[in-house]
Amino acid sequence: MDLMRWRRRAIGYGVSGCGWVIALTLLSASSPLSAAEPPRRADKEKRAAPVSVFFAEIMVLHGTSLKKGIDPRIGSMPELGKPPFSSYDSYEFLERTRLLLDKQTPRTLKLPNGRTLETRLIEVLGKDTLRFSASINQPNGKEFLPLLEVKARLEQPFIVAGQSYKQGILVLVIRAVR
Amino acid sequence: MTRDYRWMQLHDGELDPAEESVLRARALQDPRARAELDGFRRTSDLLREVYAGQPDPALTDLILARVRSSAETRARAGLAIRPAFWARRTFGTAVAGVVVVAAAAAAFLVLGLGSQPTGSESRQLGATPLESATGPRVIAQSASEQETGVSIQTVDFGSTQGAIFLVSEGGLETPVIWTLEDAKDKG
Repeated sequence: MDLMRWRRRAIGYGVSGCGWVIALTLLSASSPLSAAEPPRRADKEKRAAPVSVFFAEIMVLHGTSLKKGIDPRIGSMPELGKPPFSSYDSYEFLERTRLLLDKQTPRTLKLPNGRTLETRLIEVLGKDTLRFSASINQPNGKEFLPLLEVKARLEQPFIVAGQSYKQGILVLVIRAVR
Repeated sequence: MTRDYRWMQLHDGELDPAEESVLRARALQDPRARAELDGFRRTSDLLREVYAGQPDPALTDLILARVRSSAETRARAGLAIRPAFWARRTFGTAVAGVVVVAAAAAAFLVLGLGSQPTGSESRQLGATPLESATGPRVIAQSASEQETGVSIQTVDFGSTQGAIFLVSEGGLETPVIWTLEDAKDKG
């Protein structure tokens, strides 16, 4: 064998071998299976943050002077034993409803006396604090309670009372819940 | 002293026997007087029926004190109509007046509204509930949100009357928005 030819062949194999090594190295660097690849920032950003959904829970009670006591379905409500609620000796549980609190679309609840309660989310102020509105309107269009805006922590109630209903009054216990 | 006011005093038993017998004799001959007395009687019966439960005695005293205070103010202003007479003039006004004053007096008993709390006195609502009871948009700030968890930002009672107060129980306070209705709006 010609020594020079052998040397050329050896160099050629070596070069081609290096080329394979280089090529393989380049291929592995671009492989998604590479163990050394750092997490992509774009993937993290693509993960959506959890969206909190809030509701206005409305409990509707009927206060009368029929001497029937407090309906056990109401649960613990010591406020009913305080003036002026204590002027009525009976409170009946009528219904409990949850209305979705949404900024764009107000939600409504038809009350037993024919009026409509409407709630709307105004702003989420923190992890557990909301600002929302409530209003009560009548079918004939006359305003009754056109606007009530509250800033409330979740699970903390407020009461809208005094509407006449069947020789008694309606009591609306409202709280924001998740 | 107007004649109508005398009929009210007759109904309330505030006249001496001689005056009472004279007015009762006149009422027998005067249909308008009889109608006036019937009106007072119906109003009293209705109030007795609606408010069958006895409120706290202290509540009653506070209401009367507030009415008298208002009467003195009106007298100084030269107004001839006494608050008691005003409160019973018509059925609707009587019910509204008693409930609003009761709600205001309840606020004296419970912790009330105050934009600048300065100790126990800040809890007194004073004239706030009545002055806030009518008219458009009222900004009412409840007591510290730390204590209630709920802060009333805006209230518009529209064409109705109402009152805002707090009911306290066991260290917690619950805001109450109490609305009043005209007789013709009742459901």
